[in-house]
Amino acid sequence: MPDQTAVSNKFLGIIPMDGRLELTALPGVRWLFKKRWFPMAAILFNMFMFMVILLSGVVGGFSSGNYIFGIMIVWILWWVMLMMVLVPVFSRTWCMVCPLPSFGEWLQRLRVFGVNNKLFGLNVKWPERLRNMWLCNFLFLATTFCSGFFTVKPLATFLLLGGIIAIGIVLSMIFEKRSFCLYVCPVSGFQGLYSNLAMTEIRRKNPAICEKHKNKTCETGNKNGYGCPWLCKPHSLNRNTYCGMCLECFKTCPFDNMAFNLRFPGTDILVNSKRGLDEAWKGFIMMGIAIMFYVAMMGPWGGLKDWVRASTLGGWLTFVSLHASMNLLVIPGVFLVFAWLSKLASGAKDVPLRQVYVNLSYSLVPMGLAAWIAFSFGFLLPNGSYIIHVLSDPFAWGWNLFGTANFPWTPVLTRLLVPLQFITLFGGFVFAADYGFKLALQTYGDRRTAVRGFMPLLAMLMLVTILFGRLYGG
Amino acid sequence: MKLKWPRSARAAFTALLVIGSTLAPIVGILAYEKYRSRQFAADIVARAPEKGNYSPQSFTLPVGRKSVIRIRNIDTVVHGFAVPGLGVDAGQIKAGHVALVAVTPEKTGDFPFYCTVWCSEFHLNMRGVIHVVEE
Amino acid sequence: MLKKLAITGIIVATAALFGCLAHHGWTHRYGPPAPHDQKARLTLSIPYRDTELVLDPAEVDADVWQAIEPLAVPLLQQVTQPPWPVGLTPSVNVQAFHNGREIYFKLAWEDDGSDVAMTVDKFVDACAIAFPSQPGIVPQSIMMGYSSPVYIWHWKADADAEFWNGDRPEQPDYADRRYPFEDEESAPIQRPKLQSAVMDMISARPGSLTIGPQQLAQGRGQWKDGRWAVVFKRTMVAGNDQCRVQPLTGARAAAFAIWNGGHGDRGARKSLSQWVILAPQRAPRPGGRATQSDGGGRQSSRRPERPIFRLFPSAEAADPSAPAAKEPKVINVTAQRFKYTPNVIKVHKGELITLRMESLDVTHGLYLDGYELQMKADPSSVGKITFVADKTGRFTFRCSETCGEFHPYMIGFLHVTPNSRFTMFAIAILLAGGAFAAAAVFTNRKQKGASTNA
Repeated sequence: MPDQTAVSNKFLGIIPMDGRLELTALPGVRWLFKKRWFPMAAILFNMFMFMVILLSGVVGGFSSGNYIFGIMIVWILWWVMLMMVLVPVFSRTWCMVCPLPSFGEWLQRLRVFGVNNKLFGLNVKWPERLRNMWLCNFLFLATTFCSGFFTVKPLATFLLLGGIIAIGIVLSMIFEKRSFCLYVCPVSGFQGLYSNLAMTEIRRKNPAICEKHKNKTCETGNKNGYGCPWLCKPHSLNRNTYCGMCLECFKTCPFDNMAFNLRFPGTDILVNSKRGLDEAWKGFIMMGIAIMFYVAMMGPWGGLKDWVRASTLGGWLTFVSLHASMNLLVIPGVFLVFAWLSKLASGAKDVPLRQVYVNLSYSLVPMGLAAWIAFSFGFLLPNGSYIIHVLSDPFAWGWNLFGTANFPWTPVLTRLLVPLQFITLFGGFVFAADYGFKLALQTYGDRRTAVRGFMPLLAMLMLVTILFGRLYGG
Repeated sequence: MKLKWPRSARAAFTALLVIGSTLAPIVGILAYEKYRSRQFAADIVARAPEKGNYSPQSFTLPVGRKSVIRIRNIDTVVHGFAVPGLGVDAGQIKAGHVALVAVTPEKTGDFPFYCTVWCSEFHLNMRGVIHVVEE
Repeated sequence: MLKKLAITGIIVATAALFGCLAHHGWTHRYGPPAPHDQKARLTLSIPYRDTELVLDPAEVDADVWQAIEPLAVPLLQQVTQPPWPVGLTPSVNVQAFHNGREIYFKLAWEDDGSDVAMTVDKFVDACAIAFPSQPGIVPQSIMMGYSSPVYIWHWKADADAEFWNGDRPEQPDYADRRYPFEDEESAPIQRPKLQSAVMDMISARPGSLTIGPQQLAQGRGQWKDGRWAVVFKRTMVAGNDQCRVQPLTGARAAAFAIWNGGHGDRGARKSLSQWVILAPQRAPRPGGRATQSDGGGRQSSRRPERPIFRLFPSAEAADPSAPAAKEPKVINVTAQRFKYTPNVIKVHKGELITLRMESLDVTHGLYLDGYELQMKADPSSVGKITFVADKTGRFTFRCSETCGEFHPYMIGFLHVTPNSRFTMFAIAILLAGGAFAAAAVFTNRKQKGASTNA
């Protein structure tokens, strides 16, 4: 058992990370979480928004994406909210209110609000070999191949979101519960890994109660709610990765033993459970995509943009192969070198390289999120003003619902853009380095060994941060 | 004392909610737009010639009566719309925007209209004709 | 069993609904599907005739022309902006032939009055033929150098009168705004000594019309009974400097323009045609001697370099040691979908910069982050902003006029050196990293000391 001394459960050695503030202890919160119409009301509202988004996508065709509701709301408003607020603060709260699987789930349950534990559908168990992030990794990567279309062509956004809904319905009819959300949805992989950084979590309160409770209704369901649709064991959940925050366990637990906690960001990174190469690759892919998106869309290289928007098939295929190999081979390969250097420097003989590789890759999670947040500023500040136009004229039909249809394109505070990006990257580095050290302690056990093994990782993190800084503002 | 609604009422209410958040908005939006478009004597879509040019490229207006023409730019570049013979110029119509033009033709005849903004390699081809006829 | 049927039904219905919507969206992606009206490409055949013309007025009706079927080429207005053009010359009849050494074109069109001299309210009748200087033009694309560089033979009635009849014009020099361009950059033209009634010109794109290096085309026009007829003649000899201005290199096409001075046509205001495909006939080979008379077949394999012309030389070519205090340093940027050229610009802190942008295809803009300056340009007008580069760092400039699908990603970088922001950031990271390393090592030693004491 690695010696996790007092230093390791304090951030930067100063801030304690063990504390939890239970939000469900506040008046009204637990009451709300136990109502069956929560979060369904939010889902219905989002369903309405998505209908508007889908309609605007079909109607928009190949017209200018900047003036179509669907594209602006999804790729500027929702994506930025996801990156900057929903995931880092609220974990997988989007999954709580996401309407994309709802048709499928309503068809499974044959209910919207009520409880029917005999689910309709074939309820096939998801194949064991795919019970990981690999499929999400490839699907997410595949969607980024088409990034030159989704953010500019309304019809492409319709095809993506409509396709996700359709696939969700089909998979819900075949497989059990939220198999689609867990193992297929492209957003799920990203949220899954990065929710480890979040400041909220759902955990059981008193372990003794759960030990005595033989019929774990949080798993099986009862008349008050469904057994965990995310195939988790709420009574022993210790990581945010696969918990979709649907709040069913709040309804099914007869002892009100589930809690929604506020906590220090990132503690899940240190939880040694279900770690694997799939999650390591997810970390690499997210970083690689951030680099590629920045270079292609916010860089000045027109030739690359022509590749990304497929002005020639050959160019697009070149982009696809470069992008895929960078994400699947180059970045993992470079990290392998540093992992090997770390093991070499540490002098540890008994720790397998694979374990070093997987464990230390979690230090890239804060780094990757910081890179994404910094990247998001790059389109939020210049182009966020389109949202104001699009709220009044969602379909480019000449409407003026709120009087803002003539609001011009207005870049906001662009002189702060690069400084904001630098600050974000700096923050990401601090988190990555601190967690990296703690991960080294976990991996190598002995403190002296860990300090030596940490140095190559620290060097790599410094290099990566400076390279991102050079890309974003150098 | 909790009030329990009968099951059928609850089911109906749920169905209403679901339809109200899915089908109803779509139908409502399309219906509203159709209603709004009734007042236009001509509803033109502007796009570059290689994507289809103005559509329709020719249409009819009655002489002596005020007609409102709507031009929707569904392209990704700026277009224009001007009918010199009728003294009408919608100026620059940005991508994704809509221009409304009111015209009262005073005599019958054929009046060509042009795109006035550099929009494509085939910009010169972007034109059509308005036929003004007796009612 | 019923359950499986229901599930299959749901899956099929979902797929069908999605498929229908996707199909509808795809067929209507550009709006209502419009019938494609592909106009037939006009072809002008250029037969071989063993005749030579000396551009005598009588030759306008020479027998050789009677025997060639004229091609009626429809014309359109070029200018589609106010002030609106007054009239349109609806079509021009074109005939052509070659005799192995020279090539001849005859243009004939209706004009109710011959305008041979510029007066207060009238301009000069003229006509022109343009040939693309690069292969790969698209039929029905805009001519006159808009999307491809062209060679132009420009005949003007006043030049004709002066060259053939010795009629001197009243004003020898005048400002000729050939295309609506920049207000303060009108091009004063001194009348060159006339070598013929036709001027050879080169244009890379609108606004870059310049006189060609060689003046080889000749022409003569005659107005009679409400019709102009103009005959062009030019040598096809190759193998010397003149081959750069060979008219039949690149794609074999030509476009025609007519100016009716009485309608106020001048410069960009004219009636012009689409590209017409040229189909020259080979000359018969006398004996075993090869000729080069196949209308430029061999020349077309040589690709001329694309000339980049500016009305005025860029100030970048100016002496760098010249005092920069008062004169702004002009940086020329060209904008096209979806990139700027140059895409990365480096300047020093404190320099007075003028960014001058020309557009090569559609309307583009330029918004500079950090300085929050904005301008726009289109093929007929140039944009300029002048500022002092007082903020250092790297700043993005982006397109501010919707110019196509990738408009939000049309971006360039402006570096104002020294980039102290990045230097500070890099130093901060290095310091933080050093602090982490030091803290790890230091607390390690402290731990070790504590444990040995215990």
